[in-house]
Amino acid sequence: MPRIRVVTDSMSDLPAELAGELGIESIPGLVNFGGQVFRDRIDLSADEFFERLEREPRPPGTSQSPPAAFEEVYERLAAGGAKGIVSIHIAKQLSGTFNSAWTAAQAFEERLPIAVLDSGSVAMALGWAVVLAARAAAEGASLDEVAATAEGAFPRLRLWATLDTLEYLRRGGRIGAAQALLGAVLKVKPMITVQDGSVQPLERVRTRQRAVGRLVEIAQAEAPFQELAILHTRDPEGAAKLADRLAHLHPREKMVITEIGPVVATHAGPRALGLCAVLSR
Amino acid sequence: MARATPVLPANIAETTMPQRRCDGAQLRRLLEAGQTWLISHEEEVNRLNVYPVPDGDTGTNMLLTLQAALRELPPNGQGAREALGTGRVAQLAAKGALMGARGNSGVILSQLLRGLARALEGKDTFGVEEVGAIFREAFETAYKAVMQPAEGTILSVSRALAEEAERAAAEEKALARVLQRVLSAAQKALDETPSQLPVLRQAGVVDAGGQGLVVILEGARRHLRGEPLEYQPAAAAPLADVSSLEALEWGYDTQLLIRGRNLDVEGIRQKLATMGNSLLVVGDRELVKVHIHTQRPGDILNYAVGLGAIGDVVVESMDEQARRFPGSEEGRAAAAEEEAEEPGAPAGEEARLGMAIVAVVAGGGMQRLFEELGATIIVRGGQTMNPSTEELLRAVERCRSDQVILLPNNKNVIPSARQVVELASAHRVRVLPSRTLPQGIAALLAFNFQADLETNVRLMEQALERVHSGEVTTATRGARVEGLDIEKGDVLGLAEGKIVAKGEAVAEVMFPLLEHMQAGRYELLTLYAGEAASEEESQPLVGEIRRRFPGLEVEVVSGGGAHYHYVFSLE
Repeated sequence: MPRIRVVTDSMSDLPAELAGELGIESIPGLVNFGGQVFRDRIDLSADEFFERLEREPRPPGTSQSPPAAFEEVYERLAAGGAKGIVSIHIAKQLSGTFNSAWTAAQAFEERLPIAVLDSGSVAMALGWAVVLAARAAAEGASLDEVAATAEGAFPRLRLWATLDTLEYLRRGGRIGAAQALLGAVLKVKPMITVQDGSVQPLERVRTRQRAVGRLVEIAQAEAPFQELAILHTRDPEGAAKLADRLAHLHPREKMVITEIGPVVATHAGPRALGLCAVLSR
Repeated sequence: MARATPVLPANIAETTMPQRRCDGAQLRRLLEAGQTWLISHEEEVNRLNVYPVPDGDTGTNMLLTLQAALRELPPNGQGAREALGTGRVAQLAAKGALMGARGNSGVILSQLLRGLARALEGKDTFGVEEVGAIFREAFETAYKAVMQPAEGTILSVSRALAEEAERAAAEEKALARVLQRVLSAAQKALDETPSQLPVLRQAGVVDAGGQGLVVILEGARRHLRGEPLEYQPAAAAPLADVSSLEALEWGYDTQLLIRGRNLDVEGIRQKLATMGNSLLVVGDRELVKVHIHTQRPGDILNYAVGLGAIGDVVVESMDEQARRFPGSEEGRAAAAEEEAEEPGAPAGEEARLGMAIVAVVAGGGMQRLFEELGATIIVRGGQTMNPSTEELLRAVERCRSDQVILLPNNKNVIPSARQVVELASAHRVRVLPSRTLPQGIAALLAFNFQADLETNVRLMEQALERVHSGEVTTATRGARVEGLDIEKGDVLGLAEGKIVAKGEAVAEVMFPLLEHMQAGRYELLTLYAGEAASEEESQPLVGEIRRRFPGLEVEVVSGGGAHYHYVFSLE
């Protein structure tokens, strides 16, 4: 294991095998469903979440992990010989997770240097910053170098997605400026982006096919990419097809396809499809 | 013989001193005579619209444009008034027309006046020898302003009259003669329009815009030759201008000369005394000058022309309100009221985006939809009521951001919208050529909140090309169009504005129309139910559409306009 360890949260939607390969620790966000609290991706898989979503009369909510959850992980890493930790998290404006991490880090002030970073993003866009940092750490980079790698990626993180509805974002209070896309008269598929830590409106389209077409066009306009991931809820086939359509922009084998986990899905809703990228420059 | 045989008006140029120069007042009177003549021919020109669905009426659009031109001139008071030269008169009229331009023909008319103003710039008067160059400039200015000039339209009529004006100006000595020849050439070109445009040939009519131009010229020619401007149509329909004249408190200051033999000055005075007040009749047995205030100037002219040849006719409204010709304009007055109530542009969203969207929508459900989708300002208008350039400009000027995207949503509104681009000095305006409301919606939906103006224009243009629009409507007039004999009351199905199906009931038309548009190839059908569509009718219709096109998602939205059963988009 590298001397500098990288920690994130489950809202990065990092595929488990990628996290495992790079020794990335992920602290789960919490989903409140019908009076029960579930740890994201641990007590509640995506399958269970969506099955429950149809069954539960009341919509789910989410909450940040308490500082104790972070302390526990930091403690374990310290005990395992880590010389420093870079803890990279979901945007402050979207979640209190960063605050919990920050609070937890204060307890280690004397014993272990911990850099707590706000990625300003979410899902696999956050995930990519984490992956880049972890790769640097694996190559033996110092704490400052690993932190600088992540910070250097933040301005180049991009997330574009089409949602089936804005209802979930609105209900969870994360809609922000994207409420401009809300409409009652005409059914539209909102397209959003995450920028500077908040959900921003991109466009409205009428059909799923068109939404996918727009994602391809956006990718063409924004390429080249250092990294590219497809994120989806409940649509691995659609995600794979989208990946195929982007193969001329980025090596298909380097692309990561990842399903949105319960916490992010609570806000994104079903049938989301999107791209998470790190721009080459 | 106590009285001379009335001299035929056509010969007047030979019996009076030929007029060789034209000053500002005269130019104004020529334009006013054109307006008067157009008022009485407005409906006649409107009837030439070849399409059996409600459309921006050409006669009305041209008249509103010309009225806007003349409103720009200072009031015709008696007494002290700065005499305007021809250059200034033309400049003001061109400015007024530019702002008031409505519809395609109105825009071309405004460009003709603009060319006139260019040719007359700095000239107090002009002579007969200059008329050719003046008409040439008018034609060329209008021609350049049209993106895709077509033969068989007002433009070919303008070209013909410019060419004849050049020949006539070199050969003739009198303005009236030149104008006569110009008018004949214009009429000839107009008569040829059906052979140039198949749609006109099928309908058996001449081009409406060309006809409007000929009517205006005819009014001017009549004025020059002292012929009456009161028009008696073949059918005994009430005249638009008569009803409006009767409503005037002050009426018209009417002046004219009567030339004849053995004129009875006292008899004329006594007769005219019954027809108005402030009467002045002076002269001798060969030439009488008449000045009278009257509600019915046409009666005066009709009477005078029976006595001899009339000339130097001046008919001026003394009531400034009269310039607006209030008759037959209920709809416009209502529209003006609505405009007065329009709120300012909402601040929040627009300020954040740094650009605004102005959309032309008829109102009702469609207006709500456009507002919901983010249109900053709605200008009322559309199929039957084309907003003027000025109305569009005002809407643009109410936008807080200096970048504005304009959605005309109707092919007849696109030309006046394009004029706004150069008129809006403080705003950068981009016009998207949306020809239908579904296209406008598609463009609005494609608006990208993160992108700049030019990128948005590109995205929105692509979007409106991608959406395919159809309409189910009822024919408001009979016509033979695109190989179909259409009777008033027929239900029509239009694909991209072209009639492709007709029948007696909506369902009878909807399915052939959807088949024609290959609806099965699309993902989503959005049906905007108009006022003519009832809920009882919609439900089974939608059910049947779903049955016939199982892959097609169908969404029904209320909001189609007054004239439609359904407007729809396929995408």
